[in-house]
Amino acid sequence: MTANVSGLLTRSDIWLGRQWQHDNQSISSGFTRLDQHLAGQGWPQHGVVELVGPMQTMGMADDVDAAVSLGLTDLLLPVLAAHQDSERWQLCVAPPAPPHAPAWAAAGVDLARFVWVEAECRKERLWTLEHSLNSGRCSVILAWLDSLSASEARRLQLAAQKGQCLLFLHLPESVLAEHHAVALRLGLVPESQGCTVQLIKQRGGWPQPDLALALPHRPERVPRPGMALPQKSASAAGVVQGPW
Amino acid sequence: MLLGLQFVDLSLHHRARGQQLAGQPIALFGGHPLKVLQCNDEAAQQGVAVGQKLATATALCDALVLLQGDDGEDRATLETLAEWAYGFSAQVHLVAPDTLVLEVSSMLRLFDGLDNWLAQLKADLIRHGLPWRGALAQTPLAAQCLAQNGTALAQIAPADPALSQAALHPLSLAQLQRPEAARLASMGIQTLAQLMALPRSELGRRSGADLLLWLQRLLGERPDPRGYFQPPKHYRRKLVLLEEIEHLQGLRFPLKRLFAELGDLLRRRQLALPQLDILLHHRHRPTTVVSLRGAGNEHRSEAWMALCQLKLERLVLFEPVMELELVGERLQPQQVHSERLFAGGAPDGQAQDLLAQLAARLGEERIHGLQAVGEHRPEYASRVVAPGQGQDSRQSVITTLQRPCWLLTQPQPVSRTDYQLLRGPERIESGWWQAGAIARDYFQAQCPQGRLCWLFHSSDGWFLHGWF
Repeated sequence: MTANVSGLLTRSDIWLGRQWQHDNQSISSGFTRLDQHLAGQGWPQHGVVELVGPMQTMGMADDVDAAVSLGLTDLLLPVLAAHQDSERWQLCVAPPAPPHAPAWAAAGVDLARFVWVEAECRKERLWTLEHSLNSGRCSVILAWLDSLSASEARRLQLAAQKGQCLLFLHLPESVLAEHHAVALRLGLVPESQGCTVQLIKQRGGWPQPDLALALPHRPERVPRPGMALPQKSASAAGVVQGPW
Repeated sequence: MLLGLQFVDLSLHHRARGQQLAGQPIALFGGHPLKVLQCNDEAAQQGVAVGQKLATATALCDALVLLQGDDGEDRATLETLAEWAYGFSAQVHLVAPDTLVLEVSSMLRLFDGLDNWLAQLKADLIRHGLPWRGALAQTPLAAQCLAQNGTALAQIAPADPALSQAALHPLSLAQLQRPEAARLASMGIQTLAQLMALPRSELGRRSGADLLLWLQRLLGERPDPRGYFQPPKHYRRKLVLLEEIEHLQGLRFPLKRLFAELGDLLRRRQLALPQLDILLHHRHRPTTVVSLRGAGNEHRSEAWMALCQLKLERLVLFEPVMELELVGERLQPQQVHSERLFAGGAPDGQAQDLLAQLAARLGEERIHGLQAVGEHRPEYASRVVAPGQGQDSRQSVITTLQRPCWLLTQPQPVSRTDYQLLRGPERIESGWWQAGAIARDYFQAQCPQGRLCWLFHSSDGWFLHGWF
């Protein structure tokens, strides 16, 4: 009986639920484990990818209004480096802090095509995103928003498809209450060695368990012994204990 | 061979065409006492005639739209038309108030024959929407006289020298506005044919050398040197709006026409503009200036219109607009876009349009490119430059060091106990030769929320400087 079933699986005239996922063209994320986790073996080629993460205060700890979901830039750097198109820009719209050029250049991002756009108010950010997506002159856009309605998400998704652009949209956890018609929605929880990727929604894919993803260049949790600290006050925290 | 081109009632029709007045009776008035100077066909049908008193004209036709004449503007209009005609002939001569004389012979090879040249000219004339009449002749004066006294509108009299001579004969001297016309008429000489039949020496003795010279120039027996039109080095167009426009939407129609005209002119002269100012003149308030900056040197009217739309969306109009003016100060040669041989570098061409549009809406100071600089101090390692000019100009020595993707503008003082140090220290001590000297130990650390951040310790304490 088992042999019969496996024989059925090899027949070309029987449709398997797994097959249609692979019709979507995709871009490799640069992380093999993440690629395997996602339907289509990578990021969608164009469309909106929502990255939902915990709120993060950017500077002063008590400045709660300034809290944003910064996302994990390490996760996106390989896409930015690989998905280069000589006639198209890569935009960074309203990031919570100024981008630091050496890090982006070191990751292989072409700075000649990388444009940082500041836009304070929400309306301007949405306009910038929709206009840039519609123009078809951007290959990848990173953007930050503090809220997004379902209709706005739909408009951005349509514009991204029209302009053949991949939009990574960083959103706070509050948007999880709403259902957005986007290509992919991931929850990201930062950890010391990388992050946990929760697959909240993906077009053309099945639910998957959470994935603990290690990111490159992450330091060890315990520093090597013999590493000196400048002041003794540092040791008072009880985190790093030197041999002195 | 030359072409005379007269635009009939130029100032009236020029001012009417910008303002959607099709089908309405219009008259241009001026002088002292006020009289009708020009009127269109609709007005003429209702009895309005040139030379009528203004009161009579308005009594005859109560729906008459009245425009005030302005000599300075008429000259500007004719120069605009000369700029257009410059695309058809290198030698354009202006005859005030409404006639142009174009040299044709040298253009025939470029345009592949006279028929082609005339066909293109006529197609353009129809697009202008101004009534005109024209005539081909062998001398400038003859071309001018024939055009001004032609009968049919929108037609060009034949080029044959014999025929154009024949066309000159029946013209009366009065029509040609010669001062001697009345005196000669009393002698029984009415037409040019009669004048030409007289012996020249006798005619010269009786009527003076002036008439003789004019006649010889008309017939091509003497040279008739003229100054030719030179296109100006800057662009300036003014449009007087008939009705004050209160809503920005209402500006769209006249602006579109102005931009089309600008694009046409720039294409013909192979020029482009880096910046274009739109001046909106009000009655009381100072002029509103809207500056448009294209992506590089721009010559396409659609690109200007798109930028203008973005700017107008954000503009608040406090007072109605009376006049529109387009000013482009620096005309530059157009750059031909060529494909790159090797890949790499900033996108150009149409991709630059997107940045120009973003800059028009958000402001130029908010669109940046980034440059990585070979410098140890983090504050100076990343430099903001114009978009598309970003590059990695570091030396290979310090490219291996790991740096955060986001650097806070101001380091934030933090409590050391909240953070768990993971890697470090990396000592950066530099800039002692400048005011911005630093001596810091940088650490990669984990913040309470679990993210990786960049801390440093200096003599002032612990600070958060960036996020990975």
